[in-house]
Amino acid sequence: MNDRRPGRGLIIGLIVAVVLAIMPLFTMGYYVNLLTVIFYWIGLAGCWNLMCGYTGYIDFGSAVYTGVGSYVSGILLVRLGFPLPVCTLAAGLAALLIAVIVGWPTLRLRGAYFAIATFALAEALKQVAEEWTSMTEGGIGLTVTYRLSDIDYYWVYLGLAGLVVGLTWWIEHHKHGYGLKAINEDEEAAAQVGVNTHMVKLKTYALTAFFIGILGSLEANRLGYFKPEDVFDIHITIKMVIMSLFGGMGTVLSPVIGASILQIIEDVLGAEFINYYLVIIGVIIVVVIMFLPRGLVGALSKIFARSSRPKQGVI
Amino acid sequence: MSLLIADSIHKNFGALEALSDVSFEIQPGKILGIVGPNGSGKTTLFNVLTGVYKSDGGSVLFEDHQITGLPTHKICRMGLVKTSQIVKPFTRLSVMENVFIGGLYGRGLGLNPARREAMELLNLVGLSEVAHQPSGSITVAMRRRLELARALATGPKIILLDENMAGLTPVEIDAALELLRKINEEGIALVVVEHIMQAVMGISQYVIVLDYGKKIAEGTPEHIVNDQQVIKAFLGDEYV
Amino acid sequence: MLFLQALTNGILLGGIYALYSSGFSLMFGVMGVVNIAHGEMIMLGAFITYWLFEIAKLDPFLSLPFSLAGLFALGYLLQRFIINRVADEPPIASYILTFGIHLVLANIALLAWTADPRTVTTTYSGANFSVIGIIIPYIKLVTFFIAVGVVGSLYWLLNHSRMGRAIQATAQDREMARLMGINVRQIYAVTLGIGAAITGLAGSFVVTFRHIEPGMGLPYTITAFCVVVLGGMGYIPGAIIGGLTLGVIGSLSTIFLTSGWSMAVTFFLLFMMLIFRPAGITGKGIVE
Repeated sequence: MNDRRPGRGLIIGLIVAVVLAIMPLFTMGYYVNLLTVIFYWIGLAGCWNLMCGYTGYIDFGSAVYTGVGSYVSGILLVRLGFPLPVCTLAAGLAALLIAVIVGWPTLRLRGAYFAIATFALAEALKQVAEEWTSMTEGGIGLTVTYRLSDIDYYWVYLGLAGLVVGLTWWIEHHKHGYGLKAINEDEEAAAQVGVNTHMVKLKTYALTAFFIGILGSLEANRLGYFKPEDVFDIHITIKMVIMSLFGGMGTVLSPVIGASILQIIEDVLGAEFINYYLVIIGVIIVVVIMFLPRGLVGALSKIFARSSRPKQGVI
Repeated sequence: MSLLIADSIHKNFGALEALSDVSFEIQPGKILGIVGPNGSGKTTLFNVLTGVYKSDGGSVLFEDHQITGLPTHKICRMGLVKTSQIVKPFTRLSVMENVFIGGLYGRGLGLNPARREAMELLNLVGLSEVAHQPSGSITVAMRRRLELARALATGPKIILLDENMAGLTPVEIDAALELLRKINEEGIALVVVEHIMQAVMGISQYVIVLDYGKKIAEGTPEHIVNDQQVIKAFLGDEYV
Repeated sequence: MLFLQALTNGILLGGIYALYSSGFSLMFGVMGVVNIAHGEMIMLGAFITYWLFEIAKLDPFLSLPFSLAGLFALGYLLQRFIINRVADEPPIASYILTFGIHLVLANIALLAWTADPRTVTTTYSGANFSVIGIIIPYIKLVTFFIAVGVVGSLYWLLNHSRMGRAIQATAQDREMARLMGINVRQIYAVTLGIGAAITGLAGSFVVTFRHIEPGMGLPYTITAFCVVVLGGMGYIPGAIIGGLTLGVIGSLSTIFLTSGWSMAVTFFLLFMMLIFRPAGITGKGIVE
């Protein structure tokens, strides 16, 4: 079922990667810009997919790490003048640390608690960013003057997207991935055969938080100016979720497909139509879950193959 | 040295005393049978032993280590593993992958050694032909053997078998008993919970009887079938 | 003095929290549904009251039956025709589904009504009385008593009526309830209807003392979730305890911190609970 040797897929992937890498040398402007943004979202959605698609634990607060990443690196860059790579790395580590602290107690419990805790965390840290004006400039917004060139962001994001996707592929075919799949199917049975379910989940969560933090830090840089509500925005999480869903959660390529298609649609529609777009997305989600809970590019079936049900209780 | 010592296990679910002062010992390489009417606490006992439930009293010693309160995966890695009454394979994975997870995590093997061991175990339980089929597509009888193979992959010293033979035909039961004997010959102790009397009595060296969460009798199979309390518990007063 | 005022404010606020959180707890306790669209139910109840006030000049307290009925219908239909379909699937399906419903409701509302903040101000909005120097607005007091009354009635209903017992039975063992002749799909629909109705009712109260706008839902959903964790998931009286606790602690914390830190305080409380006592203060939450 799982072919350990990459084979044809990898060759195609490499060709695509090389083409994409040299593209900006021949053409700039709109397409390169669009691709830069797409790569960014492949990276983000890929992280969400790796954590949530494979474990089945839904995270509604992933944007907290783009926020943390943006502010940690922004503050280090602007106030302390550290070089960008240091700031970005620090951003990733800060995100990882928070993920470990928050994930430790919440991943021991059933998924609903994790979903709410991450959700609440995002709102809470957004407020902290708004209130702690001495550090973050609060609602005024932080301006980051140092910036790489557009083409640099293209390549960095391409690299990170590739890294996230590659990492997902690697994990899926090695020990950690089997642990994740087992947890998704039946956590109790997984523990019975020796899987330390808590640690597997926590490690995955921390890893994805790290990358989200790094992406957040770079994007803040690319944009040059941001406020708390931009980087701790629930809509970032929403996009990550729907991009993973559309590509079919729990497969290596799902974020690539989902991010590409949805970002192009969003770009074509333009900002004024965001609300219509979200309504349609919402309707599609509802309809698909209703009629094809096992559909959506075939991969959702892997999640719903799980036979256990939640225990309900006394009121 | 006893392999497993359960001492005065208590477990309550609200007002229900599911297990009350249950104690027993298992020696290495022996087969213990546990019988009792439905609801007598057999599955609960297995869940307490493997750390799925926290006990409300008493302790469990495995090779002289306290395992009460340890997480399930740690207990598994120490050598105590159970199969479930309701068989739940990891349906997304193939038959072989189900088994090799046990080797990967329960025994800490690398990918290829775990795969080899899984294929050997599938051979032992007779599932080699379906090794690469999705585990959701095999029959119930096969799933039970898969459960067993998966448990074996973790390198256990004791396997707790919770009604592993439920729903099998007499022919399948005989084959299952044969398999258990083979496994036991490798030195693995077994605790067998079954409703099928002949099966349990035929294979166990020692039996304990539970009723309403209490141990009401223990002894060799011959001793048990003649015990008054046991007959009363199973069949009612009229048969005593 | 400041302390007592903050305490009082907290208690009054706690009543509202309890009201909109008990619906959430009910849905989770009976059907295992985590309703991501919960905040939208509050929003819709609030807007029903708002529009009835704007267009028909209907007093907000007189609009309560409308938001109750309207939200009951919405909840019932949602469950009956949509959410019931994933009743047998693992919980992830209901998160994603209610998430989709959230997107639809919030964005249609935004398109229809714009993001302008609105509120309902009546002639008696500011009226209050004081007791030993503590100011108590009449609206908030009445709201508090209605809220507690409704939650109490819900609890009574669940334990002393035939419908309530059917709901409890279904919550405890769905298969057995089916075998006993209970129409589980219908029970689920009614339960969501009841949950949505009391949530909508809370929304109607909220519009009388706060500004509302179509995108307001998510923080309320988070708060409801936190209240329910504090009080114990799936345990209705716990919603009152959780609501009061959150209300009081949140309110008291404004003495030392500005209200901008409220979500941080909420989160901190939630986080502490999850580490030390996931089953809630009452210890009766469903945890697993």
